[in-house]
Amino acid sequence: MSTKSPVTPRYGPAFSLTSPNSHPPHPHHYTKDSYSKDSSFLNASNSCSIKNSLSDYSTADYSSFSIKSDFSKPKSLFKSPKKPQSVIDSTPSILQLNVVTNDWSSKTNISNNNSQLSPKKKKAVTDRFIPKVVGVTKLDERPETRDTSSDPRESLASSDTAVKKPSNSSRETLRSSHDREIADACGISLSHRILEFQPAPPSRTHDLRSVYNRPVKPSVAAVNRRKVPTCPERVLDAPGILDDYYLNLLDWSCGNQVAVALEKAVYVWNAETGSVGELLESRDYISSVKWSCDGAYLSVGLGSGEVQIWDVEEQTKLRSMFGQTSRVGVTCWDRHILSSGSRDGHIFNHDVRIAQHKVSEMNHHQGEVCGLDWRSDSSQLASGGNDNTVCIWDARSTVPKFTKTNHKAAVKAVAWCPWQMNLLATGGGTYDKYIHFWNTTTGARVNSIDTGSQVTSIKWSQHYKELVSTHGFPNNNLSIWSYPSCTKIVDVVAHDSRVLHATLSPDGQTLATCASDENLKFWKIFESTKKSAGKEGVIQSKEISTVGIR
Amino acid sequence: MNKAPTRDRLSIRGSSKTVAEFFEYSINTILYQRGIYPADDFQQVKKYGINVLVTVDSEVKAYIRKIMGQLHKWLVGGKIQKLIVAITSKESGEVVERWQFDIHISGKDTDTASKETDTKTNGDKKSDDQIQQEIQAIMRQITASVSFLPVLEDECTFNVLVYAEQDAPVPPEWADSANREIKNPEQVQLRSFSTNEHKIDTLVAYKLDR
Amino acid sequence: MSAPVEFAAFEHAKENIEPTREGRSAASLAAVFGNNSSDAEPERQEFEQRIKDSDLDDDPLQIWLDYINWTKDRYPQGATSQSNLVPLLERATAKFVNVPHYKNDVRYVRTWMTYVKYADTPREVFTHLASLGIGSQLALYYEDYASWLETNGYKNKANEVYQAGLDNNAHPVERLQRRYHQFCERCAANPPDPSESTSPAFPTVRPALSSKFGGALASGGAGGATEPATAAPRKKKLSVFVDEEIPDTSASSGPGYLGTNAVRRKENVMQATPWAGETMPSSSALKPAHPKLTVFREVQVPKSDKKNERISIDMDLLYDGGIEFCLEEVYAKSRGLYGKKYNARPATPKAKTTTIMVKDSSPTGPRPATPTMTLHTKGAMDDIYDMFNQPLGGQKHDTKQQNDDDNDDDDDDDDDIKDDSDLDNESDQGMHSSY
Repeated sequence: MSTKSPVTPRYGPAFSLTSPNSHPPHPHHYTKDSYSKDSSFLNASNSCSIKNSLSDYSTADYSSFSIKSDFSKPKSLFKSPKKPQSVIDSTPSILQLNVVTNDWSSKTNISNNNSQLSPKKKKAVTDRFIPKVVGVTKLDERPETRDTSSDPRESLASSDTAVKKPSNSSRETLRSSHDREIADACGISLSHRILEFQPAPPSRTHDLRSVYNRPVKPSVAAVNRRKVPTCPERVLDAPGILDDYYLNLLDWSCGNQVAVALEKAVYVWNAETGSVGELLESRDYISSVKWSCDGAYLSVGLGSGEVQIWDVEEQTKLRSMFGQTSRVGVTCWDRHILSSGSRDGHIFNHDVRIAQHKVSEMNHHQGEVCGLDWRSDSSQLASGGNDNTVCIWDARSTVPKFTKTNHKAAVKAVAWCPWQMNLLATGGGTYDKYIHFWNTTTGARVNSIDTGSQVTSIKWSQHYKELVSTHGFPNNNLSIWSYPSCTKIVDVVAHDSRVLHATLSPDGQTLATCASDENLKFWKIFESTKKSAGKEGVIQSKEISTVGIR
Repeated sequence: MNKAPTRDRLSIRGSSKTVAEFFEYSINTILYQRGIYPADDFQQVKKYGINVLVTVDSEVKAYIRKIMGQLHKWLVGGKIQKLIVAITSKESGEVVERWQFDIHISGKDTDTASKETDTKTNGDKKSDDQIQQEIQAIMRQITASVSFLPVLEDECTFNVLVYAEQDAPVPPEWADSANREIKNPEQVQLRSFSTNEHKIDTLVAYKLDR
Repeated sequence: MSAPVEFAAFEHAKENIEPTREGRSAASLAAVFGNNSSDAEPERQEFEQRIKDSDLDDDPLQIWLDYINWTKDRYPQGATSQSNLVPLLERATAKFVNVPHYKNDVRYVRTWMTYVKYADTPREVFTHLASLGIGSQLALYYEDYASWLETNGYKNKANEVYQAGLDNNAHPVERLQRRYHQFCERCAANPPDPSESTSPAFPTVRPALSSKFGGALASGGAGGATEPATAAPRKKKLSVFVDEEIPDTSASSGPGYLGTNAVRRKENVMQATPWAGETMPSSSALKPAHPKLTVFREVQVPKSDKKNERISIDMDLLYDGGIEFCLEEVYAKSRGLYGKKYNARPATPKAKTTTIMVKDSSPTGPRPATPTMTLHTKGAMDDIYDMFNQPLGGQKHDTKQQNDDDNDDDDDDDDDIKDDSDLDNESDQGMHSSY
């Protein structure tokens, strides 16, 4: 009897909760040692009829009744080391009611049917000082334990009487509601635990700077530089133009007419004669304009997805083509075929000569189609989207021949090289800033330029082996590059805000750019040295200026 | 844990592999995008039909590998509910950014059943292509998140946390920790993807530097 | 914590978001780029009003800051003519330039640092601030100045600036030190260009010119403060050009006035002109590359000029998605039957119809006296054909013509064999042909 049984700490030490006017229990109840002493008493007994019900308390949460009380007794909490538990450690305000076990050394009060206790199986001994713990069943000594002096005990006791052998669920609910109270009080969650990977991650070996502090690129050696005026030749007014990267609101026809869309109206300026007129005004905002290859018709894409074809000479609308369900931000002609790209990523090809205009669909983009260009021999179509991809399609197919994912931002600038049929240049947006060059026969990337700013358009020169790129965030500039050396020829700060749209004149010498600073500027950047009947001289004298800011 | 009787163990393993892979590539992408490690330490590989950046630094690689190994085991057992990547400023010790991936297991919780709008109904298998498309969209979003996340000026480090079940096996390198949440954060929900067994939500919380 | 914002709500406009160092509120991005973005004008007017009322506040700077933050949130594209951000920054900075207790106020200096990003001549702004003593105790100023210098290749000057900041114990010192160390590391990796110009980072002002740049003497404070608020009104017609309001420079040419972008560059910039009359003739002959296309012309529905004509039906049903439907189709659609493929009827008529083998060889013989018909004789067939060949008014005729033209087994479907099923068949055919 004196042997200390290795009591598994499954059941916490019993202690009694007494009403204020009862005598305090023996102090030794509150120590572990005393517990083991006590348990020695129980070694003699062998079985316990309430073993089963007690074993229900084997989970970690059994010990979590919270009793806010005015009990003056010290509390001890016993945490099972094996089971990870919610931490309810030593919060003084919380009392933990454990399964009552053999806390009595005095033999007198052991009730009837406890002669069968085995070391491990404890019986909840009923006693008038020990409030009945719910779930500890088979104890019919209830009346003794009823003591009306303290509320929590009473509630427990009364909940007892309701239930002789409480079912799992009610025990659970009571337990879980108590759990939750405790958890709420502690600010922890019981349904999970948060684990952190303890080892620290490797530290940086070197500490160079970030995105925002890019060193400025050294400018090109003077020997490569062609003299290019850095001042615009002309500045026109473009009030109300929409500030949206994804739209294409400017185009220059082969008949030397410039069309620009200002929110809901399209204006056409005849650069030969100087006359300007409003071509149309629509209910919906205009999202793209593009001249047909013969310079006679203008395709107008609307925010609703409608595409209208206008005869500019007659100033009438010839037809409205429906089908796209979201706005048409970009269109491109290929003789009689008009391709339209919309915000949902669909590209439709329309034959404008026939009533049933839609001849095919090319659907692959997962984001808005914002760049579209047909190869000059009509064999391939290149498209760029807000899903950061470039698709190269063979003319009559509906699946792209190549899908290029090198760009890390939207691709609006798409341009085929005029002197090398299968060379395509694409430019990426704000967080990409690259121009990539592709061989569209093999699909290989042949060259790349890091431009330093969001690329909004690319135009190839017909007279020089060069291309010009226009930019938005952060520099709002235009840059001229030589190809294939990919060196910069000149950098011109073009506008106060992003240069969103650009188009080349029919003679390939002037670039018109438009930005949301509501200015439309004309830059004579690809001046041809070929003389032609007197006009050349007049134009040249206007613009050469080396002091160039804007 | 209730297991639906028709659950295919092979399917769980396969799906867990997909999810673990996704976590690995996401962590790499986050480390690159947020500048935790210099850009030179990363190189592009083809995955999910796009170019993703993974670290070539052997230490960082090994570190992530260890984490991944344990994550995979937990996923197979269905023991984790969330994966957190917390980015902390080395100087101030404050958590400045917190990426959270919620893991829902199909059929396990009743409240996730209503969220199962992505998976096809009644056992139609989701094709690998579809899953790849969904993950591709999430990767794009992580890349594009730089458009609203503040630039991390100070040098930062990262920590990986999981929300695990109470009965999850805990290897020695993992220990209990606080949740490392940000007070009054801005929160942005990215796209989700789902396999036949799992649904993963992604969320990023950050503090505006105003 | 507020509910998370869906990235997909503004991902479609990601290229329209200007990068900023301090990040953006996703909630406001979603609001601006979502479907219900509100009109900015009323809120702007409210801010303008509050500014006017703010002169007696303890801290009038705050309302300006709120206005600037609102502008940045509302216009993620940054400084555009619609957002009017740059003029606002100019006004805000100019207004408090002579207020001593704002000189080292973090918020005020931050406003200047934001403005520098949009200024044409950042270097001048920085030196001007130095001469006014603005930001001299704040690490922020030195960090930004040095980093601008470094980006533009002036590493030695950047070094000077860091040193100056450390000498002044600019706050917070630890951070400035850290940045300086990082800068030194970078310099060690990329040594500065020896040919870098040696002009000082903080030019000392010669006494003779002090009246131009001036010290901290307050005078003519910030002429821009009275600038009216409205952005240039949006116009539709091109022919009218409205000049942007520029502050009166004469009133504010006192010391300490740097001027706005517009003022400083006015001699270098061409002003926009109206279109009419401007020409830019092409230097090459204008030859269209392709012959003129013939575009399909839609028939224009002439607008009805009856007075008060109202269309009482829902035209959207008829022109659903741009395709026109007739009333029967609309009706079928409303019942969910449109496009429904009907299974082919069990060909009961065919089953019931018997194939009559024409026995040409069999003798026809005299017709029986009784008019009983036996279907297996030619004569009988002739009788039957005769009976049914009577024209019954047009319709029959047509179908019969068709059927006569058929010389295949489709005789089964002849209207000569009159079953009930035939009638149904025919009426079905009739229905279909009207489509």
